[in-house]
Amino acid sequence: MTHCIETRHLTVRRGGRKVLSDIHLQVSPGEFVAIVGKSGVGKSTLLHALAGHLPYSGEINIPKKIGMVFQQFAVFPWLTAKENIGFGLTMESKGKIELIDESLRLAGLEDKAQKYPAALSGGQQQRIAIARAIAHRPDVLLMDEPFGSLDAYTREQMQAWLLDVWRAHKTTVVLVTHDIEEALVLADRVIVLTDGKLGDEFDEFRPSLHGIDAKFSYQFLQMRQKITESL
Amino acid sequence: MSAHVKRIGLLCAPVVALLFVWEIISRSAVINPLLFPPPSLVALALWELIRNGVLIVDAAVSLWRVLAGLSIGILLGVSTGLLTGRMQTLDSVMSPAINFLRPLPPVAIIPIVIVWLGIDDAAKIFSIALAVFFPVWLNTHIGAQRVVQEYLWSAELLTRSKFTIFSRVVLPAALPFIVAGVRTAISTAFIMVFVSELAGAQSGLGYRISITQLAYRVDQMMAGLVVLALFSALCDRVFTRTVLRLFPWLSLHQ
Repeated sequence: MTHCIETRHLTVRRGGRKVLSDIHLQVSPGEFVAIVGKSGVGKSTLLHALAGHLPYSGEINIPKKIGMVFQQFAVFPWLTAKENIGFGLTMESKGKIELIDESLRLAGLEDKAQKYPAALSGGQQQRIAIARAIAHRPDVLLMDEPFGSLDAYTREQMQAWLLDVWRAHKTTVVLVTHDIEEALVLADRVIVLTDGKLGDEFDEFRPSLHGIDAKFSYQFLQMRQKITESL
Repeated sequence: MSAHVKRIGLLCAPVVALLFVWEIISRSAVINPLLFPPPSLVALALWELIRNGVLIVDAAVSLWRVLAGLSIGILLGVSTGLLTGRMQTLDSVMSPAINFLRPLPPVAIIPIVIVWLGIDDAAKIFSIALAVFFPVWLNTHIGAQRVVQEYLWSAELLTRSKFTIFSRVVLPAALPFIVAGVRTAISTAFIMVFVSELAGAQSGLGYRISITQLAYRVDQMMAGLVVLALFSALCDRVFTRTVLRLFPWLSLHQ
């Protein structure tokens, strides 16, 4: 199968220090991959290298249409929810208004279309950020700890929502997180990153098959234990 | 009592108290009332200056100079600040020179401006624009430099148009800094118009205050100062209200 994302010997240095070393990553089209690791192991660096924000050595093959979602939302405070989602959609974009309306519906924020981000909750702001990225129909969606700054309850709601969105659009997703449970709940495949190197992979537990409630199963707990041990 | 009335009451109470104490002290003859006239006499002097039309003309002249100088200084300060804040090459070329001139007290340039441009409006407007330029440039420069990196990354993934990124991301992201710079600039402009009209002018509030000083009309000097302070405060108020009306997200964001 042709890969949607492929890196070979990817190495990133920051301030003279090797942050990522000889990364070989392959992601299939439509796959949801989570990279888990402790703080400072290079998770965000890997995403930023994929997005083209950082200089690197080695090879990265990734489609040009990339969407990215950050932990700190990065929705523009000076634009309303609707304007944020429409940002960058050109007039030539097919059915721009329909696309924005559809994305607002997807985010469940039709009634908040004219609100500024500061008047919305953290979860709602992150929904705008994700809906904005999806509205551009990216080939790849990169997510950098997207729910890291949300409370536990909102985080769970957002995870369920994201799974629905992903099922509807089947975008290829690479998510980095330090939360093993989140990785297991969302991804088809979980890859451990330790000290700038990719380690063990786990793909026995598939939430897309089991549904989010499977996190209470014995199999889920076993997987969590295995990943914790390999971190 | 409604909250609005209460707020006005709280706002006016210290002013009324101050005027009352001032009136008592001036009338008690502890200080020579010719040197320190009571507010009632200042109000009369103000009315007299308004009635004979002198103050209206002076105020209009000063206001025109302030607005013209402010507009030029803000326009140049914002555009230069955005460019030096976002373009490394321009920053290295221009910022050292601007930073060299910036600490110069703005009023110190007035004598040389008189030599260059005389005592007409052009000289006053030039002095104000130059003085206004520095705080506006500095604030805009810092604001443009400090645009949250995630905003830029997001924008670059969503559009390829550099103009869109500049006008719809960099400019609004720097706006809170620009607003702060303009508010500083408004008070600087009023200082500059006053000083430049003192140093050489045939009209304006500064000129009026300087000639009433020659006649020892302290009441008229104070009336002129009251008008100057009122205009400065009013300009700041109109500016902040307009900005919040045009960009309502600013009040939420702060």
